[in-house]
Formats: sequence, structure tokens, C-alpha cells
Amino acid sequence: MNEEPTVFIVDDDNEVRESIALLMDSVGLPSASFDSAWAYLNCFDPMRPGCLVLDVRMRQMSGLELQERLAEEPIHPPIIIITGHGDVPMAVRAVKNGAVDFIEKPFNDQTLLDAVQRAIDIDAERRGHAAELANIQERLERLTKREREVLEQIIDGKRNKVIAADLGISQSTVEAHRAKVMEKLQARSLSELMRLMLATDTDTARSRDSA
Amino acid sequence: MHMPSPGLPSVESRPNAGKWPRALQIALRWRLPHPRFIRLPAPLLAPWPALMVPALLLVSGSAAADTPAPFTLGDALTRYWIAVVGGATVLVLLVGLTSRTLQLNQQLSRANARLEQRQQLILDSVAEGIYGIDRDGRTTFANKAMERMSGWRAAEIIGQNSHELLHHTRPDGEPHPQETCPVHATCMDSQPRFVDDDVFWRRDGTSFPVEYSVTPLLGERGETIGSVVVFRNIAERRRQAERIRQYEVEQAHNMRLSTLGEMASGIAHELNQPLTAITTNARACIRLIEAGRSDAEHCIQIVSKIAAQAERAGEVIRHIRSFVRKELPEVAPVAVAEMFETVMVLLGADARRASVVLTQRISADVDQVLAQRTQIEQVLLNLARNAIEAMAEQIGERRVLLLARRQGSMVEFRVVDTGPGLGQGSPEYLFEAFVTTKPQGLGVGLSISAGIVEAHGGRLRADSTPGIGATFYFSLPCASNAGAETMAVTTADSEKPEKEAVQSMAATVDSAGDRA
Ligand SMILES: Nc1ncnc2c1ncn2[C@@H]1O[C@H](COP(=O)(O)OP(=O)(O)O)[C@@H](O)[C@H]1O
Ligand SMILES: [Mg+2]
Repeated sequence: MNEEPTVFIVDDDNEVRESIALLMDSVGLPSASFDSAWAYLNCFDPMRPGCLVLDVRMRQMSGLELQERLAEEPIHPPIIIITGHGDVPMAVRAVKNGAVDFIEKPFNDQTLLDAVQRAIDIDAERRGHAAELANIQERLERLTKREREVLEQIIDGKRNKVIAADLGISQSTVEAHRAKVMEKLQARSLSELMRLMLATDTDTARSRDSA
Repeated sequence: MHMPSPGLPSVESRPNAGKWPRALQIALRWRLPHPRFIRLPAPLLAPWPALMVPALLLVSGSAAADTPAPFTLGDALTRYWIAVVGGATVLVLLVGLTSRTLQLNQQLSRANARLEQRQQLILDSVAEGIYGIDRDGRTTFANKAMERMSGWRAAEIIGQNSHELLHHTRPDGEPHPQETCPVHATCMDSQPRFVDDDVFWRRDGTSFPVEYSVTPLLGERGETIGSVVVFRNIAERRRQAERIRQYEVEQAHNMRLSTLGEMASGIAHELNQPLTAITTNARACIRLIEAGRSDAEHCIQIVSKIAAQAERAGEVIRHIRSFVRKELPEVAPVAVAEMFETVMVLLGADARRASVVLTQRISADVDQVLAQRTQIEQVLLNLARNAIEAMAEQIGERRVLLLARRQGSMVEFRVVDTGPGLGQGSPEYLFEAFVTTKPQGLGVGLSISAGIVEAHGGRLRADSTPGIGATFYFSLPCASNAGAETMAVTTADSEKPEKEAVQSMAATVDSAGDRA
């Protein structure tokens, strides 16, 4: 998780690829270059953070195809599409499919570096978020069935008295479950608990959208 | 008595007879031997002074004889009356005959003059300039057209050396000695000649382009006594030909511009690549220097890359420029590699976009061919673009191979693809204009290409195997040893059976596949 983000460069034009790598090096960003989509896929490691600078027009497998394949992975670096002349429709498609940015060749160095920085931030956020989610998920697993039921009622904004009546248990039992939930989820306050649960909610919503 | 009449050989026997208009042929036929003045037989003329003498003697004799006995005129008459009457009769007859002869002669000369006039009229009615010379090169006659074209009056040049007046300088401005003049040569060897590219000079010192035929003039005993020159001013025809040529140059140029226009986006991409590398490298270099993270050696390395990329872009521009350059329709030695390079450069991006692997292979023994460079580049581009387009829908291998290999004194060019092939029917049908199977197609690419190859003396051919691919091929002569054997090789090659060609195509596709 604490690995340094890498700029992955996929372009079948040697000169362009090397020049982008040099630019990354000039600002101290580590990079890895690949001369084809296949080469990248062969080395693909979902755990490595960073971003992907991808030429849309390549022999064999195009940038768009690579993007489609990566979409099947649970997590992959955000994609910056590089387009040549007249490839704007392709770029638009790429962005619709989830690319974070597209840049036309020849590009301004700062434009690319800004895009790369944004993409790395997005990646970090996604990864951080994913880590947090995994964490919450793990904590949620620890809840008993009854504790879960109580939690759902709490999220729905019900008072203890109402919960007790709904579940047919005493109000003090609800109190005890509630304390257990707060402890297991490591939430110090109700608002913190709400935020945690909201995070899992939006995530499920997002994964439903992209599917 | 008078000039021997020119005896022209019969028109039909002249090798160039077909080249000249009918009127002229008639004119030449009319120049039959001049009818002659009728000569009186010698015995008729001879007695005339012979008879006069005795008659005079007779008169003077009568005066000298009166001494012994007066011998009167009466006596004489009585004694010699028969002779006197006879003599007088003869005298009268002779006078009559003489005047008749004179009269006949006069009629003949009038007829002759009419004939000559008529010949002259016919000669003058001909649009071609016509003049005759004798063996010494002196002009013997000239027609009106000749006067009109040369600016000389016939009277001024008859008797003058025509070569010195008309033909003294070559088109390139070099002096033209009479010894090498075809007109003169015909006088010497009696061989008719035809020259289609020469100039004649006018009286005012200007010149005009001519084509002319020279025919020997034969005398009575069949000996050559001079020659007749029939010429045409071909300036207008030249201008016409030049206009057509100019038009064709324009057409070809426009074609290339439109081809280039269709490929503009691919070419822009081809320029974009080096430009991207250049700017990115340059910016990176600046950042490294600013951050103090770069030494001179590293900088030199980067700047060298920048230079190389700038050269790469320049190369693209060079190919474009040479392709759209207006080119005179003349064949010259061209390196096959150069032409292939143009196709690779101009079509590389399009091939990439279509996921087609475009490769070239030139046999080691192939160097230069005789061709109009941009025209052949146009053909190769048309064929390679068709090949790329043919594979657009295809799943599986997409390859286009440009091949050049030696065949005797020819170089065979092949554009081989791994597309669907040409479908049923004769491939020749595709060479017709406006035949296309593409929704956006114009259907002119192949017909233009076939025309260009034909103009180079070759033939564009096609072969295909359904599902395996298509091959388009043609041959051009090598620049180095294009010789007599060229023709033999072409014909032998053109008889190559189709099947064999398909096999060799399949073989090339295979080997191309092996290579990659
Ligand atoms: N390499 C090829 N493979 C298959 N078909 C071809 C090939 N080259 C030409 N053709 C066929 O010949 C037709 C005529 O080509 P062309 O004269 O270049 O016109 P256009 O490309 O505008 O259609 C094409 O439409 C296509 O059907
Ligand atoms: Mg075509």
C-alpha cells in the first residue's frame, strides 16, 4: 500500500514513449514503459499504484481494447488517453469508458504532468478508499446477526425504544447491542458510525453503476 | 533545246506516299515528262538550202550565157519549164510545211505552258511547302506554300543554294553543314527520306519547326538529278501536343493532391509522432537542467534525440513535397527503395490505424528502375491503400507487403495482402473506371493505376485466392541495363500461367508471415 506510484507508459512509438518517460523522470516520477498493450497486460499487477498513459492508436491491440480488458479487473490505474490527429471520437469513447483524461499529441508538458498528477491522486484516493472499505467490511463481518439488525435500525434513524419494540427485545438489550456495534466498528460517535456506513453505501452504488 | 524534264518516280512507290495528302500525290503525278517540241526530221529540212542553190544558179546562169547565141528567158522557160514549175512547187510546199511546223510548235508550246501552269496551280494549291533542288543544291522550283512559309519569293531562290537559305542552322543553334543534310543525301544516294524533327529558316532570320520528306528526282535515264522536298510547319501541332502534355501533368498533379488529401489525417499523425517526441524531450531536458539533475553528457544525448526526430519529421515533409511536386512526364532512373519509402511514410499511420502491418522487401539485386517517380508512387499508394481497405472488416492476420524483385532486365513490383481476395469474375473488370464495392469509393484508383503502368509500357495485373489474399503486380525496366532483352523478358513473363502466379503469391505471403 505504501509503494510509490508509478507512471505506466504504453505507446508503440519508441521515441514518443521514451520522451514521456524522460519527462516523468525530470519531475522525479518513476515510470515503466511498454511497447504494446500485451506487454503491459503481461506485467499487470493490480496492487501497484500509479496511472496509465496510453496511446490510443497502436498496432495489434488498441488503447481502447486494453481499457476494456482492464475494466474487468477489480482495480487498475486510472487511464490517461493520448490521441493523435483526428482521434477525438476515440478519445471521447475512452473517457465514456472511464478514462480520467485525454490529451492530444503534440501536448504541452505541463498539461501531461498535471493530468498525471490528477490521475495519481485519483488512484491514491481510490486505493485509500478501497483500503478503508475493506477495513470497514472486515469490522462489519465481526458483528453478530442481531447486532447487524440493530445497526440497520440505527442507520434508519430509529430510537432505541422503537428498535426494541420492532425486534421484540428489551430496550436495555438494544442498548447493549448498540454499545457492542460501536465498539466493533470502532465508531466513537453516532455521526462517525453514519459516515462509515455511508462510505460503504456509495461504494456499493458505484460498483453497481460501473457493472 | 530546253531543260531535261524531271522524271519523278511514281507516287505509289514512294515509301512516304501515305504521309502526304491526295492533292499532292496528284500534283506529283502531273509532273510527267514535259511534252517536247516536235523536231522536224532532218531530210525534210536538209533539201531546203540545197534546192535553193540550183534555183539561184538557174537565174544567174541565164545571164552569163548570152554571148554565143542569144538565149532568152523565153528559151529557158521553154526548155526548162518543167524544172521551173517543179522548183516553184517544191518551194511553195516547203513554205507551207515550214509555217505548219511553226504553227504546231506554237500550239505545243502553248499546251506546254498551260500544263506547266496547271502543275504550278496544283503545287500552289497544296498546303505543304514544296521545292526542288538539283544535284548542286540549287533550287529548281518552289510552290506558293513554300513562299508563304519561308518568306522567300520563288524567283529569289530559284538557282540559289536552298540549304544555305533554309537549312543552314540546326534547332540547337549549331551550324548545319550541307554534307550532313538529309535533302542533300537523297540527291547523292537516291534514297527517299522522312525527317520529323527539324527547323527551316525564314527570310527574316526566324525559324519554324518542320517535318519533311525528300524524294529523289530521276532524270530520263533513271539517274538522280536532284530531289524534291515536301515540308510542313509543325509549330501548331507541337503547341497542341504541349498543351495536352501540360494538361496531363496538371491532371496527374491534381490526382496526387487528392490522394494526399484523402490521407491527410494519417500524414498529420506521422508528423505528430516526431513532434511529440521533440517537444516532450526538450521540455524534459529543460526541467532536468533547472532541477540541476542533468550533466552535459545526458543533455547531449537528449538533444541528439531531438535532432533525430526533427530529421524524421523533415523526411515526412520531403516525401510529401516530392510526391506533390509537378513532374514532367519523363522517365528517369529512380531508386525502388525511395518509392517504397514514400509509400511507407505516407501510409504508415493509416496502416497502423487499421491495425495492418505494412512491410517492404526489395531483393538485393534490385536498385533503380526507369520510371516517372511520382506516377509509380501513386500506383503503389493506390494498391497499398486498397489492400489496407480490403482488410478493414477482417478478423485475423492483416498484412500488406510491398515487394520488388529482379526478373531479367525488369523489376517486378508486387503489392500483396492477406485480405479476402478479389471475389468472382475477371480482375480486369476492377480496372475499369468507377467500379467500386465501397460505399465511399470512387472506383478510380485501379483504373488510374492501370493507365499509369500502361504509359510505362507495362501492364497491371491482379491475382487472388479467396480468403488468402490478393496480389497486384507489374514490371518496370531496370535503369542500369534496359536493353533489347527487356522485351523478351516481358513477353515471356506475361505468358506466365495464372496458377503459377497464384502459387508464387501464396509463397510470398507465407514467407512474409515467416519473417515477422
Ligand atoms: N487488394 C484488394 N483486395 C480486394 N479487393 C480489392 C483490392 N483492391 C481493389 N479491390 C476491389 O477493386 C475495387 C476498385 O478499386 P479502386 O479502383 O481502387 O476503387 P475504390 O478503392 O475507390 O473502390 C474496390 O472497390 C475493391 O472492391
Ligand atoms: Mg482505391
